[in-house]
Amino acid sequence: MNKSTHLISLSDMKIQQKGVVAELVTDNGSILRKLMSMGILPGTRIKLIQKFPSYVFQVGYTQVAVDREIASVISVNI
Amino acid sequence: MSTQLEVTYDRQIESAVSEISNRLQYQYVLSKRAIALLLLQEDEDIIAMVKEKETNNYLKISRIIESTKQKYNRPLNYIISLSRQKKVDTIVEETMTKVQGKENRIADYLSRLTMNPLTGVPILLLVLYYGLYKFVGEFGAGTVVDFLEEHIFGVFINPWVNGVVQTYIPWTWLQDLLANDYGIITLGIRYAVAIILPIVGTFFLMFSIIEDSGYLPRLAMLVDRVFKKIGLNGRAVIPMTLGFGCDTMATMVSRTLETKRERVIATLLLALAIPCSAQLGVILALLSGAPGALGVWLAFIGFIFLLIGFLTTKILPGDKPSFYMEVPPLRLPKVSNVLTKTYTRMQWYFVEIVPLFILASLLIWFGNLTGLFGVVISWMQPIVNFIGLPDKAAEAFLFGFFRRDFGAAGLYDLQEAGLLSPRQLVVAAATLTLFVPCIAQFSMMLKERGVKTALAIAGFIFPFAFIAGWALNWVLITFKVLP
Repeated sequence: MNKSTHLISLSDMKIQQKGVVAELVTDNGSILRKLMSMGILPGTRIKLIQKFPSYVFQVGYTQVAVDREIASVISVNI
Repeated sequence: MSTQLEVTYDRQIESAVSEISNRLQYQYVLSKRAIALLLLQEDEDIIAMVKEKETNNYLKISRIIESTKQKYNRPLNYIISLSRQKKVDTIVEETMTKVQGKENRIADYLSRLTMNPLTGVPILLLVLYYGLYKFVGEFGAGTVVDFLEEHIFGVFINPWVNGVVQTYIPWTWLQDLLANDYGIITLGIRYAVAIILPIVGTFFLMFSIIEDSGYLPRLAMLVDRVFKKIGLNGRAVIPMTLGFGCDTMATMVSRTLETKRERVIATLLLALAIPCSAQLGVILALLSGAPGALGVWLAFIGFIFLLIGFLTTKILPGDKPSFYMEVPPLRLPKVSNVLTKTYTRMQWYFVEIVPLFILASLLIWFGNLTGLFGVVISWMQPIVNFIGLPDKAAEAFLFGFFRRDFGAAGLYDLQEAGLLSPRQLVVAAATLTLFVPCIAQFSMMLKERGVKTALAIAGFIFPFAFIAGWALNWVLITFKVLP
């Protein structure tokens, strides 16, 4: 295992924590399509801004709000 | 000069693309490569088009797609997007530089305040109080309506029209069609111009400002959890808020919701528990006289909204809603954009709705002339008595179907005559709020949701409104809430 990087789900990240999207872990085509349409793909930098009442995060130059179900799909390398 | 941007995908995708391209026999507007890529991404419209044009050939194409899909453990859509994203990243790297320290600090700070529930909820209440209550309610529905109604129509237009009609038209039935109590000009046009125009105009103005500031997505993320309980997702705040302006327009906008289930729930809740600005204006004026009445009405309607949403979610089959939304930066709205939007919406409103006002006047005139209304009102009297209201209230309920605010305005007359106690006033206002949508909204429901769903919704609302009114009356009497 690499010294400091490990994978966690976006929903388990701490507020203000940064990382790089590693994988979108779902077979649900509709969720995948939504995330992709907003530019959330492996390799994009991501920063969690808020967890409650919804998950808000920064990807590239945009802020995105999603519910817990979608947030848990995004696997992040931190 | 533009150059073609080529993205090269991995070997397997590229070979599938060229195989499919070679098979395609017809000319499409898009290049064959583009069609092949869209087919691999399982774009429904393109699949349907190619199926139709290539007929037998399509079977072979679909085999290529299937075997390519087998080679990956993720959807091809995802694989293709990954390659594109790589290309985008290289381009961005080469062409973009970011200037440090250019962020708008105040906007960032405000943005965080609106998204944090601790500060966001008070901000929402402030927006509602100043935007809806003060600006639309007191200024639009109060000051401007009073001026247009009492001064322009009351002093100048109506007496003049009545005078002209009386002088030049010898038949009473034609006089009544154009003028007097229910005439097209004195009632239909007066309602449209003097009551609805200022209320809807101030509402649309405020809505455009809020929309352009980027506040709505923040509101959506704030309410998502509550909305999930009633089978909707945060995005539905947009049609719901718009409903406070015009439920007809909101019913149309609910087509932007993702699933059929969400669209049906939104349509039902709009028809049942969201009063439009015209109705809201009259109800605010009606209830603000009796202390506590407004609070009871608000709590009751809010309760019904959540209860019916919650129950519908349990009954209606379908996928659970999911919420995702881009949160744009907060911006100061541009005056020209706000004015254009307000103007366009008011224009839509007038073109769509005013003919229905005139139709409503016509129907009311016809109903009065033939005595048909008298019959229907006599049928409705036991129903209004059942919820503790006097006979006279039946008329208000019947008119309420033609225009939500006609009904509320009818109650206004009853209150002026001192026929209603505060309790009866609240019960009447609450029942009228729940009661069937106006003709315009109902016709939009038919158009957007289909005959079956629209009839089912109306068939539920009609008895439900009166049962809920009865229950409210019972609670208020039993616990001696209002005199």
